[in-house]
Amino acid sequence: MSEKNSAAKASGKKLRLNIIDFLIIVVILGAVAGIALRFGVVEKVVTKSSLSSAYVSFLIQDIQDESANYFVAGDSFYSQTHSAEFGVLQSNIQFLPAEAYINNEVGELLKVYKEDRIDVRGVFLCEGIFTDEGFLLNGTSYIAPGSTVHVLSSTIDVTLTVTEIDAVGAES
Amino acid sequence: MSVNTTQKKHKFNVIDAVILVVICAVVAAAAFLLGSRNAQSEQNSVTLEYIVEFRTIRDEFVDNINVGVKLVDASKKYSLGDVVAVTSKTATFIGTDFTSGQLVYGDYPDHSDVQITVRSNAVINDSGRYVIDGGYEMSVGATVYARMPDYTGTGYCTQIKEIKD
Repeated sequence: MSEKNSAAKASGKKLRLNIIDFLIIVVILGAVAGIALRFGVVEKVVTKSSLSSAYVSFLIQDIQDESANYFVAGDSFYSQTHSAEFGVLQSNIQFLPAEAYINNEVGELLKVYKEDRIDVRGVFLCEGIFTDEGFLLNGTSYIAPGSTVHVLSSTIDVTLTVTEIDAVGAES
Repeated sequence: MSVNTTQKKHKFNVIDAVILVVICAVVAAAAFLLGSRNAQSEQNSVTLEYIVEFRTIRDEFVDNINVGVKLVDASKKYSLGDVVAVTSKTATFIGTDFTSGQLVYGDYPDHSDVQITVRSNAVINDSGRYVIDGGYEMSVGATVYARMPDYTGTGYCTQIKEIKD
């Protein structure tokens, strides 16, 4: 008799869900779905195969002229702003005198150029997705002309302003 | 002698009761909030037209701001409406004539002021303020962190009015 009781106990109790367990699971799933929708997590789940290439033109303003030596075509830059790879610097880099604006003695604003300082214009080759709402860098981070991005390479750390974004193959 | 094979029935206990009460309270709160928002939407819904001005932006960005695009709040992703008009003019610089001590109004080289007219549905909340997309309060003077497909920047609401469809 005792052996039969032990056998019955040893066979293990089956886990049975009751209505309370079911309600708890529904509430938890609803909370997870709500968080995902609210923070756009669903939009951000993108496979690497769906990324396309883009030329992101930029302007960096008012840096010391010696910094020109540290912009090397082919260097990879990392976006500190987005905590992700930004892109690869292309070869058409322009180093221009840094613009400045001063108020002359009669109140007019004049554009002048600073000595020993430069502006830099160039293009990065980046990966992302073109959507109706704009370009998503790496498929997750919105950038557009006007965006400021803190980027860094192995040798330089700067803040750039995005001036144009064109799909590779689509630029005029 | 037979083994007792009857399964124990689940007894409804205090913990189950507490969990049920909490779940019912959450569901009721959600239903109340959604219901009141929908009721308010139906009663106080208006069509709004407002102007956002971007001041002293580089000329190279002016052509990136287009009619027909959707304006989105860059910080909390509220949908703020559709851009129905865009105007621009050379940005103004207010300088000081040090010889006469007078203010001088002149052009800001290579920069423009851009105004976009945005149309959106809104509701009027209990404080009489316009609320767009369920949570964004719009009024003259509001700072708008704008996000559009081809431009992002900071502007200010300078005009607002209700329009009749």
